[in-house]
Amino acid sequence: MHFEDSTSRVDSEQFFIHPEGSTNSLLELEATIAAFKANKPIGNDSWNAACAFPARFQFLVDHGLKLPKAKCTEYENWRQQLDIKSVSIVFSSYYPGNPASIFGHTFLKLNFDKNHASKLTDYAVSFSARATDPMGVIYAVKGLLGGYQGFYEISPYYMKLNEYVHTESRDIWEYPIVLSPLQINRLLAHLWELSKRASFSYWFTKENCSFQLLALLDVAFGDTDLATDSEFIVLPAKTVKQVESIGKLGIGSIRPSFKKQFLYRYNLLTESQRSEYEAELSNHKQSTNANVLDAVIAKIRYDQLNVNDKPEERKEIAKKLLPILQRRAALKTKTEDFSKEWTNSMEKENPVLSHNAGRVQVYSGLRNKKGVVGIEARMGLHSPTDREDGLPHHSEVNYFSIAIDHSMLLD
Amino acid sequence: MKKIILCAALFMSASVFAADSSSGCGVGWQVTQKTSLSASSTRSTTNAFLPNTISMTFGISGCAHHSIVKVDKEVQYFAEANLENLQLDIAQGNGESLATLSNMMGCGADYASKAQSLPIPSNANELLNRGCL
Repeated sequence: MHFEDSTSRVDSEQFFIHPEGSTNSLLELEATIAAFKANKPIGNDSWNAACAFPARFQFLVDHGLKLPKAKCTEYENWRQQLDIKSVSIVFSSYYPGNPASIFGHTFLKLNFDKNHASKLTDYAVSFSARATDPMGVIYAVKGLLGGYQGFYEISPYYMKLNEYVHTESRDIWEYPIVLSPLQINRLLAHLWELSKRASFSYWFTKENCSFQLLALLDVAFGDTDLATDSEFIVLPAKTVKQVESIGKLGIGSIRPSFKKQFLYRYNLLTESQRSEYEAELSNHKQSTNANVLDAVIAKIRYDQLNVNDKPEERKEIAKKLLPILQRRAALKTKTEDFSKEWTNSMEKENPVLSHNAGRVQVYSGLRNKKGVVGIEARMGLHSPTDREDGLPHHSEVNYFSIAIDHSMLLD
Repeated sequence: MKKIILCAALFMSASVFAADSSSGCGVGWQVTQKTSLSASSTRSTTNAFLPNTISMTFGISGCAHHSIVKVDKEVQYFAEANLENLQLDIAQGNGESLATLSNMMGCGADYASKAQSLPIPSNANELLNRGCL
């Protein structure tokens, strides 16, 4: 029921059966049992109460209540299409080139393969805000103060990849989560309840996408309290680490950003191939080498990201790319699959390795010929002097940082 | 030391896909909003109190109510949403998007190499109308 203290975090009325259900869990429980026993639709629903709340129904049955069975055609159809065999958590990397996404983003992936093999046709479950104002100050302030409603949504995984890898050049990390078939069932049943009926205030800092995913995972696990255990500010990378801390996280695999793909291909080229690459890019000489063309294509696609918001320019580049693709196809050789090499080469960047965000340090030294001693505390995120594993190189992000120092003249 | 400063930006990184009434979100690259309010106001203040905290994870998408793709539209939808990836895979004779499409259409293992020997399709229908080759 997503209660925190004595109030549910869910704002939408449809999520509750009793009018006071969002503030009184006992009344809600009684109304729920009564509705399940009546086995009739609630309000204007076209299905019975048990079909609207399959996770609650199962919970009560598991606790020994005898309830009449309902026939839930829509829910069954939905489940049939979501014949999910395993679940992963996906982390899309920090992207310092775009300050807004420097913390990264997390969502769940519902896998059709029981061994977590990643398919483009898997489904992504994410929690996001639906903003009604144009981007701007009002937007920022409202977002901070929970002024927007957040929803769970399900979308094809390839849509998410197109969004993150192909328009933003962010790395994607996929980690298997250890869940039993029973726990996956519970997750999907609750997801049905949430995606159909629940909306939440979206707080950029805390009750954000990552927090809500933890809440959903808590329902699936049944015996964890990840959401409550999360810190004052919920960082996406931390949510992955939280799942790891309870021993339920598998080994991550990677889908590199366009930038990384390009650099990898470029670095494979020999000296003379690099001149060919330059000649091809500057339209001086057409290359007939597949590796050179693959690097050229990767470079053009990477450059294309910069003009994603300019449809005309983007079209221009696509037009320029097409004949190169055509010449590449004419070579009739297959490009190599580098997924293994990518995973190995990016081992050190695994977000699971990243240090925690908070830090307190005591320092002393010289500044402008004055001696200085001080203490500094910060809640997040990373300084150049911290360990870099799992974070972008040479980056620095500070927030909620305070430093007090005392300086004295030196003789 | 160059500092990267977080901004209040909150702009959706995400491209906002145009809505498509048929099966959920629209497809393609029509990115309509990529405005970063990147914080000319906060860029200079390293440790600004509020704005620095809000730039996390944030996804707004035009596909808010998007759900499960209907089975009969699955192939069409996939091909449209992944056209550029498919074009690349066809050129390179190999790739995940092309393998997925081949699988969805029930084509054989030689689909990718056969596709490579034909002109790069300029739209999804052109590709789909060719069938399994």
